[in-house]
Amino acid sequence: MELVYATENTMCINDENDEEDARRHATLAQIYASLPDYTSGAFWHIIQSPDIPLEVLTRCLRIAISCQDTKGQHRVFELIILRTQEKNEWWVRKVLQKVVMTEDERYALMGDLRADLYEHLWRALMDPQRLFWEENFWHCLRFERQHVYRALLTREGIGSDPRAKWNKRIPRELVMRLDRSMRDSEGESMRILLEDERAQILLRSAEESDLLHLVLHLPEKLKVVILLVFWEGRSEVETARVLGISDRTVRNRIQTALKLLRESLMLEEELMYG
Amino acid sequence: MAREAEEAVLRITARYVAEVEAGRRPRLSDYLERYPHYASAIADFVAYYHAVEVDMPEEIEAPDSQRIATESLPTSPLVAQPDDVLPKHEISTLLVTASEHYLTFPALARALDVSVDIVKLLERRMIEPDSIPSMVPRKLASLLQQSEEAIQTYLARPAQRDAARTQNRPRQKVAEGRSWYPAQELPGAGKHRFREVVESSISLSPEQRAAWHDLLEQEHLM
Repeated sequence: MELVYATENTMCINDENDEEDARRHATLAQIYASLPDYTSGAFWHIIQSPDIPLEVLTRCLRIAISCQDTKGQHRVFELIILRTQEKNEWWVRKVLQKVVMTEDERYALMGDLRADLYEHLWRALMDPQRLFWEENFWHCLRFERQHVYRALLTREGIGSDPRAKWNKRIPRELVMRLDRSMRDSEGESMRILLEDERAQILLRSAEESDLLHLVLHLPEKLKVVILLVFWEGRSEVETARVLGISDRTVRNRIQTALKLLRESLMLEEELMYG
Repeated sequence: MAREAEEAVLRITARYVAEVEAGRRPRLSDYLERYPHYASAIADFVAYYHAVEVDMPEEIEAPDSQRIATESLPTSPLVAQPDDVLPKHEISTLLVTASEHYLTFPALARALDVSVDIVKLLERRMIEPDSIPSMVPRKLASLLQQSEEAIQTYLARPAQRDAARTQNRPRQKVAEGRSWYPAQELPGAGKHRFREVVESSISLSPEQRAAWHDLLEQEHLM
């Protein structure tokens, strides 16, 4: 059977790094072309080497699928799982790191996350239309993990449910800047009532990663604005220009985001102090 | 999201990640301006990436079943191999020490304000220790919670040539990201001057390069 690597995808995003992609693609194609015949024993021996890129293994899996070789499919998929499982385990632990729960709950949720991720992975690899897996496996896997993570947030109600388990802490700087932003833009103080001493304790101990986790729970439109203003440090005017919206809309979105953050903070306090 | 849009977002965000991994600081706003149709999806991914994925170690120990299979294979050209016999208090490799503190090469690169290719050269002791600005071992010592002396000793040890080249076997681990950078391809068999490495790295931003030049001048290392 002739082994031909997928042709260059026609998707163009007009990037000067296309040359780098082309080189990468050529290398993968070369490795794929150098594999022995699919039906030979040598093929199955060689693909076990950790030096075979996962992109090439993905292509091999799809060949097995097109040949309706179930045993071959399972064999290649198992290799892919072996090569990725340590990083996936790290990811599972990281995702649940900030979720407050009992050990039993954590154990069960870890199992769910693994099962979801491998199901997503299997579906993606089975789909021959998803060509980017054959060009940048790790990035596609990252993206798949993002889908699984988002599904977890929705399913478990983390971040949106008032009784959320997420150990949220609102970054102090974020709230101070939000506050300042509101006062600057409206003239008259629109200071949001975040003076509570216990809230300040929470704010002081916040880190940048908390901001990002928090942002992940915001609706999409608010998310982009908050990221640009409070994570990247853009002004409201710059943010408005980047997003092609008015300054007023930026301010409104910040205000809405602040309202959501304030509600989260109050609920967090309520959960902590009763 | 439609298949075509998802493919486009994948390619765009892959570029973003590649920039971060090269030690640069890509600006989200640049990406949003360039690809406004995908602004929400790009921002969503960037927030997720920095919240969850960015610190994932590059090299995680393989499970037993895999370790057995790899024993007979040549070692990775990207990472220095631990020396066989080392007193326990000495650093075996930067990566091993860094991973004990949950630090990856990109994280080290960001902390040192260099690119990942330069960290890899430091890892393989491919840079003349007396050409390195004093800030580098000082910061490494602080990041890796080692004494500055231990870092200096590590950097002064003989350079580790990559296994693949010495065995005349061209290898490239495409799946694990870009393997070779110009800074690793400097001519000559010995160690390189830090200045040469800074000048030849295409992964450093012009601002980073200028800052290093200033520092090198201050320390009379030019």
